[in-house]
Amino acid sequence: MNNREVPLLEVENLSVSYGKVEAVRSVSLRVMAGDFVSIIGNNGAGKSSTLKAIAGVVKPSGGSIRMEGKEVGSLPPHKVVRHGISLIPEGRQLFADQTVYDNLMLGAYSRRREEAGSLETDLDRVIELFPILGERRGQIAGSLSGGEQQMLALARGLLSRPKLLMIDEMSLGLAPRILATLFPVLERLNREGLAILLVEQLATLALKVSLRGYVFENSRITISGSADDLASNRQVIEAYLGRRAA
Amino acid sequence: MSEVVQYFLAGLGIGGIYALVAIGFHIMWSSAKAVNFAHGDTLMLGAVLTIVFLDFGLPIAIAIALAILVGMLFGVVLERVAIRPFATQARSIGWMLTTIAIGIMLESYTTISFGAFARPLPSPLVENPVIILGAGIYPQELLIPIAAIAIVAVLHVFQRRTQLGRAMRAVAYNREAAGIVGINVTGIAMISFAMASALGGLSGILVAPVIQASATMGLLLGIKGFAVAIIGGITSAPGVVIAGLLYGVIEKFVDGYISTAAREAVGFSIVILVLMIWPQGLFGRKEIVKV
Ligand SMILES: Nc1ncnc2c1ncn2[C@@H]1O[C@H](COP(=O)(O)OP(=O)(O)OP(=O)(O)O)[C@@H](O)[C@H]1O
Ligand SMILES: [Mg+2]
Repeated sequence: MNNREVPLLEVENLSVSYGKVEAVRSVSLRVMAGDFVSIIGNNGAGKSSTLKAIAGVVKPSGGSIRMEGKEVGSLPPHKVVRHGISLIPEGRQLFADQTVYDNLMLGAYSRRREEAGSLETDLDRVIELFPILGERRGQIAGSLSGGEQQMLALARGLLSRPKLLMIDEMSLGLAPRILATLFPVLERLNREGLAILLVEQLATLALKVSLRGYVFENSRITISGSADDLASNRQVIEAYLGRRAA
Repeated sequence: MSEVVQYFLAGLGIGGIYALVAIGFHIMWSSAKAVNFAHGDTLMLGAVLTIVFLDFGLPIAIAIALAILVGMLFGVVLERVAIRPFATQARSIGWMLTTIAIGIMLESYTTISFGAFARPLPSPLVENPVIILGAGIYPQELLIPIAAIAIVAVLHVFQRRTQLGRAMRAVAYNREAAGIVGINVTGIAMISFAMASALGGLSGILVAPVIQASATMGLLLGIKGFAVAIIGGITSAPGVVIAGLLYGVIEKFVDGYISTAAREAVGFSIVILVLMIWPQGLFGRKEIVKV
């Protein structure tokens, strides 16, 4: 199960361009089965573009993306989901005009008919993770608080039954009190075997929960290593952890 | 009194058709952020083909079913060849021209093969008028607005209670997020055009007994249906139905009390006025465009 020797996601020399802007330049990274990987880096460094390319939302201009050995780099997003990759996008991107329940059901959209039977169980499970969603079932998603919306975005992403959960800027705009409930949920999901790839502004927090990390700078990966190594790396501390190296 | 009732009921009859056309535009716009400007010709196809199939000696039910099917295929093919290449990839508005052009070609072809004259589509519901408060009205004219309201009610439930309906709303709201959860966005566009066009074919068959079928019958119906969709607020299905019924009623009153000549001038003036005051239409929502 938790065999971190088995590569789940293998990204090699990935490049992404928007017209003339090269947002991602020859990035290579790996996520193992059961892994917990963080990506940190400044604004505009290409973190979101990398996740979007993996999810199939933007077309890579070069390189390869393999999930469990299968090339998914040229697939449209709705097919990537079926390979077990789920993206919780930056800014949540909920279907704000539909109810909480509708959003959850849409999260389960990619299931094949034979898996439909387990849907009730999975709905119960995400509501157990985020009980507020059960209470707000019939509420329009756009009227939820920021924290509740992020919970719904996470729940929606989980309902496709991913093997790899990619989360872009989960902490954006959320109070520390809410983050204190969300991060333990991620740790719990990871303990239960889900691989997580986390893009996070709050680098300290990200490195605390994850096992490994990559630092993005100017569209490239400049530093990578175990979370502990990064947390004690002088350059990382100076640039991203908000305190000066001793 | 009977005159007022007459204009009102007849207005609902024609307004029901505008409403049905506008629902089609609403469905297409929601999923593709583009529409088929030849949608009026889908009504024409439905009506004309039903007559042609009846001429072949087919039973009425089969003639209607086949005509709707062809109308549906027309919409699906048109989406594939005339809209998708522009609307999704290139962010171009080329689809406006291509769909109008295909509509004109279809009208010309129909004029050549079907004839340049109008023919009635027989219906038992236009044989004898019923008298309501002194006004004589054909049951067919009463059926049309009832069908429009019934269809929008079914659509409302469908969009909220089925996975396909939720997916269609999701695509309308945010294509990128729809893809992320596993919805095939282009597939949804195709299904939407199929639905809208089948509805268009059916609408043509419903109205043909009242206004007669001809190669050019779809032109004004399509334009008015589009106008109604815009003033109703193209994002709201109930909104466009209300706008359609209102437009039909106003038109009949102007027609009756002023003149037929004044009808289009007054009607389209109202359209422009409404849009100046409510740019999103009466019941529309501001489109949230996320790139
Ligand atoms: N759709 C787009 N069109 C054009 N340029 C884009 C687009 N999306 C991103 N970019 C550009 O690509 C670069 C990388 O953007 P990206 O969103 O991947 O960065 P990021 O690391 O996620 O930044 P942030 O921390 O601010 O979220 C930026 O220079 C950005 O302006
Ligand atoms: Mg980003």
